[in-house]
Amino acid sequence: MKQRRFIISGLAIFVVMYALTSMVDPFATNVTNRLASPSLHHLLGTDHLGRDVLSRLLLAGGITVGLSTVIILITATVGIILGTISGFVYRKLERIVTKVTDATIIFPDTVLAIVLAGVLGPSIQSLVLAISLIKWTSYTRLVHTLVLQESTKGHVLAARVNGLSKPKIALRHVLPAVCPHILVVMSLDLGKVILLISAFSFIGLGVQLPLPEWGGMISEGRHYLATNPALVFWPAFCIVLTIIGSTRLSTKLTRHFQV
Amino acid sequence: MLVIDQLSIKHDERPLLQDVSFAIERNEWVCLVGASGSGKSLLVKSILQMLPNTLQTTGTIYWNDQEIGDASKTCSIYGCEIGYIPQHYTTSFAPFLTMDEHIRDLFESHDEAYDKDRIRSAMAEIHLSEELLNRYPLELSGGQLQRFCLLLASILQPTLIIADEITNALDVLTARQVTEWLKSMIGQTSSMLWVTHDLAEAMTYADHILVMKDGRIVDAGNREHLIASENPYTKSLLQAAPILKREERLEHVITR
Repeated sequence: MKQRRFIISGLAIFVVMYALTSMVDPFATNVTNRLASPSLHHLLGTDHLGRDVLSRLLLAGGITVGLSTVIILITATVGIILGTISGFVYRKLERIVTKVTDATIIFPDTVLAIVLAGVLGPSIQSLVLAISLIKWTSYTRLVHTLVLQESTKGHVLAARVNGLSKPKIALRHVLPAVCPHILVVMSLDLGKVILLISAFSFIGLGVQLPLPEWGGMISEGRHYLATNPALVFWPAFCIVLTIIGSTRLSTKLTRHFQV
Repeated sequence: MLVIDQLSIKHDERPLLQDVSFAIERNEWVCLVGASGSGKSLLVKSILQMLPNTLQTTGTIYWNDQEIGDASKTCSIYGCEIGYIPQHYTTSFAPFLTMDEHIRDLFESHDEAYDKDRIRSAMAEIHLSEELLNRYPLELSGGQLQRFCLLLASILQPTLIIADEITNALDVLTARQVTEWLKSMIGQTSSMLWVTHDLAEAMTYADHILVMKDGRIVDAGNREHLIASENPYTKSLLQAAPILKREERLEHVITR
């Protein structure tokens, strides 16, 4: 098992290092070398414009995973702040926050995100905003519920009786207990958001050309599915691999935090 | 100092506490005695403003002539003026904070400078070694956690300490030791509201004993008053306490 892990990690590091050191520009087109088969210079071949597939895959990976991370951080932060305030620090806000999250949750989130992205116009900013706008509600509800559960625990009540202020109790007693749950959900959501970003790029509402993105690469490559299926296979493989990775990460976090 | 005036608590029209009135004076040790479900802990929770919103409360609690709701809003009386020792001491500490962090938080919350010497001497008094400060609650025994509860409740020298059935789960010797520790820690400067099932314990330490039954105070007075009481519930409590039974018998023989 250890040996297999070592070989896979070694191969992954080699591929990344090779792509980085070979200095292939992911944007450089070469129509004379379009749809080329894998070679030493282009390890995974070239696309329909003669661009290096491997370097575009790696750059797309950075963009997709980076954007997902940013979106999850934004939505989780909003959820943590609103959930904690409405559930513990200032309970008068509870009704408003609950009503708003309930109202948003009625709509199917993917459809709502597509509508929002369509209204805002296709760009990275619109993509981040649209997905963040549909995702914050689930984090707020989750944090709100967890905070309500935590606030009845003995140590929270003891802290109140010892005269600690509500914000201090939230920071010192409630959030440290809630955070492991949120981290697990965040790691699971990473895969979901990656899939959503790819879907948006696939339909042309996400990352715009010439920037590479896995969903966008599949969209471009599908025209050559019969002649050059690798153009679709590699980005799809990367998406699947990352989602499996995020699921495994969440399993590990669940075990680690015992939640 | 603490005055409870006509306090009644209901849940869906079902009375849980009815017309409870009493006062605790400075340096007075008051014991609240009664069977499980008599409303002792509910009374403590209402003093600590920890009642859930679903309960309907009437009556007033005064702390130093100020309504306790207003007093707790204007300054944090809890932890500083009123110390509380909980019944469930094992769950009273956050598992991810060290004991030192718990104590620091208490000091910081009341704008008090963290006084290491004061903590050290208080710890020595209740047989806690200084190295335990850096430990997490899960690394401590039940007895050590309970002593830390005593420490937290008394370290800022509050004028009233409320102890909620803290000797319930302890053997007789340890219970006696804990009570003696508490007595020495609060000294002559604090009052005490001691909630207990054990009438013998109440008789030993209290200046004033309140007997609760079904949400009411059915009898009140000092040791002598209770021994001579004609109240049937107090009588039954006295008969159930074997030590008192013997003492009562002795007194009876002496007076004859």
